[in-house]
Amino acid sequence: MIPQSWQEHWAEILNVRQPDRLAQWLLRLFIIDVSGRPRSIHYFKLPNRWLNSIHLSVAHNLGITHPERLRDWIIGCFFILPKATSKTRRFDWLWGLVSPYSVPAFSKLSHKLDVFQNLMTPQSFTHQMIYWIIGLPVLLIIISIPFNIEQQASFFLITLVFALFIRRVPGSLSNSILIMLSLIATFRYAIWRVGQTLYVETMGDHIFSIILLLAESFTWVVAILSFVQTIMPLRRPPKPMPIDTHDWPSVDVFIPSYNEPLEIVRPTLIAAKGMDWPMHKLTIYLLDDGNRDDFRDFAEELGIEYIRREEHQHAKAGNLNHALTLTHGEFIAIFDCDHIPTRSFLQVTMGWMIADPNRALVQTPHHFFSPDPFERNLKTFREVPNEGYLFNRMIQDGNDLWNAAFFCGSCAVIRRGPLERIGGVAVETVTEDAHTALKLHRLGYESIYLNIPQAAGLATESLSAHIGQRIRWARGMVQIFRSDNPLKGPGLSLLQRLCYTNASIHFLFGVPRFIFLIAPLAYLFFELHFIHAEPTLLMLYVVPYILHANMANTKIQGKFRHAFWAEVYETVLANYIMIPTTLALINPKFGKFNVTPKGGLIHESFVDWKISSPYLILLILNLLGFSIGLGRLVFWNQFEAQVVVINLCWTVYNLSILGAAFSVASEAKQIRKSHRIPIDLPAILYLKNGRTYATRTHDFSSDGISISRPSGLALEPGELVSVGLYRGDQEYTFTARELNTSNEHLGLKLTFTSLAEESEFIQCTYSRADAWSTWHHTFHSDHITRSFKEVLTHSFLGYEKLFTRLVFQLRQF
Amino acid sequence: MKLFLVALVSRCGGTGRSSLSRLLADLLSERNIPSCILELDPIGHLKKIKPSHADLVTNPNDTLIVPFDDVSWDSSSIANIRMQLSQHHPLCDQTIVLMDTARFPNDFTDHAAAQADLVINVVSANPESFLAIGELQELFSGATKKEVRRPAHLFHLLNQIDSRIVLQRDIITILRDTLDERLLNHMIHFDEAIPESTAKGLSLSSYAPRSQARADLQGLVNWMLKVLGHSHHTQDSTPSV
Repeated sequence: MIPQSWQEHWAEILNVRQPDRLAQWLLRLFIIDVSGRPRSIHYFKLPNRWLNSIHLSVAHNLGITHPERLRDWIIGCFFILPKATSKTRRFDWLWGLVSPYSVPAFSKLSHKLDVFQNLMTPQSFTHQMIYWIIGLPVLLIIISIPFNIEQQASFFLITLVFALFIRRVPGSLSNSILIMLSLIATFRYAIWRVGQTLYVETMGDHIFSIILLLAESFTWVVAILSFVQTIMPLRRPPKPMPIDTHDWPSVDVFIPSYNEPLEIVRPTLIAAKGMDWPMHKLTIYLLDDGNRDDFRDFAEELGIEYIRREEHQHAKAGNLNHALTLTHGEFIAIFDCDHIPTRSFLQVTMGWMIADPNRALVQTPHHFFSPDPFERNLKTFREVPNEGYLFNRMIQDGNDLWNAAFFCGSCAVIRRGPLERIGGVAVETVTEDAHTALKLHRLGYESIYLNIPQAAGLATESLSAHIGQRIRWARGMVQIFRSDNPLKGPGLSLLQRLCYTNASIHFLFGVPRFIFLIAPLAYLFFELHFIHAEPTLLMLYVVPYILHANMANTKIQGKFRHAFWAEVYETVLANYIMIPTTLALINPKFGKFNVTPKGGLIHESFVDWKISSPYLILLILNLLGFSIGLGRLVFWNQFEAQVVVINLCWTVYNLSILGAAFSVASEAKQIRKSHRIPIDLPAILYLKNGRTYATRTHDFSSDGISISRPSGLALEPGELVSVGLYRGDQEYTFTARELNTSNEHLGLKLTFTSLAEESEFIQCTYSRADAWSTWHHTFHSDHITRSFKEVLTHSFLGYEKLFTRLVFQLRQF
Repeated sequence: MKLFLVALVSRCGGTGRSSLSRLLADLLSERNIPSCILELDPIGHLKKIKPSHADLVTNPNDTLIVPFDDVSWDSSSIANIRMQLSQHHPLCDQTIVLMDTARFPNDFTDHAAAQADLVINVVSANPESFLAIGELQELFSGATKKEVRRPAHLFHLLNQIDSRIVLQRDIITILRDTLDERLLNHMIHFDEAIPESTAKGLSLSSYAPRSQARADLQGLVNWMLKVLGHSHHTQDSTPSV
């Protein structure tokens, strides 16, 4: 058919039925009428046969069904073509966005963004190439074009307003947009910073300016890599197990222990024994590296295997490898000796393993039911996500998208074959776990992360122990970076390399953090001008960079790390990991494995002066700097007021973070040996006189339980009662003694008469499959201003503690 | 007029049928659900513990109690319990009739079970109960009597359980295994508050409102109303403790 005029021709193509109406033209430009018959109108046919075949193959790759149509090409290049049967209008989202008639609710908008995202997701290499070819230059222009103050200010305002709007939209595309905005702000700042602010005058300025720039570039790199890691957490559901239990493989459970007391290891062993798995296919091994006879006797009493070794090389890794030679199970589940598994652990994790023999590792989050030093000393337990939460509940899940989730030493299952192929658990570094996973990934094995806590343990007890553990992690990860650099070597995909790189270099934050803490002092004390820029322009670059990064992070990881808390966590650690990581960076051979002490008591509140001395020095220096700055504003050298104000603000910020850090270092009292874990379950109270009461549990520990007190019931001190708890349908009863009675609760001390009874108690409490699933429901929601207020409050409390302690110490003299 | 007949049966004595029917009636009347206890046990003792002058005894909660001797049972009246009740007693619509039966095998029990909307076999967690359950299942499978063949409405209820006794726990496990979903999840705990409240002439709810037995019974009542399709089930929620 030959069209009569261009108008009819295009009307035909766009399916405009009433060509005299402009509105229809506009509509059809954006919304394709799929009701019309498919037409085959040839726009072009390439003359050459070769060219033609290339043309056709590219079209096929793009999913274009009618390569002769120009419009299909345009659409095919930028969007994924829906299936022929789909009635979705391709540009509905656009119509929804521009439609003046209805302002879409955010959730509605989110749906539209999802549709858009589905269309935009590159499915073939050609698509990806097209995106890169078009997207990259646009981005490069946006980030590199120099602006003057007014332009930068308006650009900042526009992106800020856009970000404020888009962050309210749920869904992952809005996450990506926020990340993109943050990246633009970061890159704009970085390019401007490198290109325009380094013209300093004196030698001292020059040196410090380079140091600060290096510290800053480290944060840029880590921020960008973190976005790669967290852009789209996989949130994998568990895979169902085969129905026939005969198909289930054999599993060895390794529980290594070195110097922990038996009462901490006990519940873990008992719970491991109680995991739901075919009995003859599950073997529990206690790997005792401390040659303790009471451990051996207990293992025998419980009916689990006990392995001890002659020499104690390579700490935990060596212990595991030794056991590897003596056992034969197809899979190996590894628990730290204080991580109590739930009964469902294996059934939740093994489904993915069984489904594909190429999967070598399933890792689940580390969950802690006791407060870590931060939570205890700041009293933020179960209100603010702790330091490990971001890694365990977010970053690992994000790594999983890129098949880069790594082994964390506990709460994981490893396939024996691959582990033996890499020569067992890695022994070259002090973080044997991550290194083992790296080696597995290098051989092309797959790792799985299941973001469902299926075991729980004790957090580190004191700040010094906590810092000791983090030093080990930091040192080990840097060792990996040096000795088995994930950026080099065979077998890894680009994104796996990036994830591993970020995991290891992230721990180098010590030095940069320290530099930021003293940077304003360099100006205030010595008048070093290390950034050559107009103060206003500097603010116009820095503030968007910080704001966008915080907005993106709050949106993406707000549930797992509140804004500004990273600063507190990092500042506390910075002084301690600074030297070990630097040394490890210079020579990875340096350092030995130290076991993280757990289960200690802190009888008296005290300030760990040794631990807190670095913060104190920094604090005093910053205070001095602050007073000098104030003096400069009022009394002398008043020619650079703007610069002084900026540096003063920086100092105040540093001071508030340091205050919170000091607050962490003053250890709060910890009197209870076994931690009470809140739990709300039906319980039955049996009295000696034959009366029963229906009540609910309030909390439990390994040897005690507290229940809500039935009104009017008064127990005699030390009265013997029984408590009934349920495990599924089955009721178990435990004898207990009255310990304390309050208005609402009865505290009972459990008196186990047999190991079986203790085991039943663990089954009813720690080992329930849902025991830890709702833990984070008590967290405050994240909000930038509220988080900042939180940090400020803790900082203030820190200063208060410091003051009272100082007065106390002075009185001693 | 719709009457819901619930037969409480058991093979052994002392499993607590009579006290259970009274406890259930108490809980029903607390929820303003009309109920009636019908004694179908020739050697029952409902009459004995109640004043003899009244033909129809009503308890303080207005539950109608019909002792065995008050009805002249013959082969025709026992064959149609519903008609017998509705003709001679002032019952309202949607009344739940709790039939406290004699130990089976027994003719009255057979008739009651045959006509009931729901048969609850009351079991104690002791070794005897295995035997009894076998017999009852046989009875209900139609092997013995033709007219008694309504296994769909037969459920087993564990009464007077005490989980502190390890043997009981094992028996419960075995019963659960054999009876599967026929064993009710609602088990009634042994509780001294039950005999104590009877002795004091109080209802369990007023004597021991927080007792586990009462909580268990509330669960049982909820389940019963649901299974019977009682109109009250849809409007009502459990009264707060």
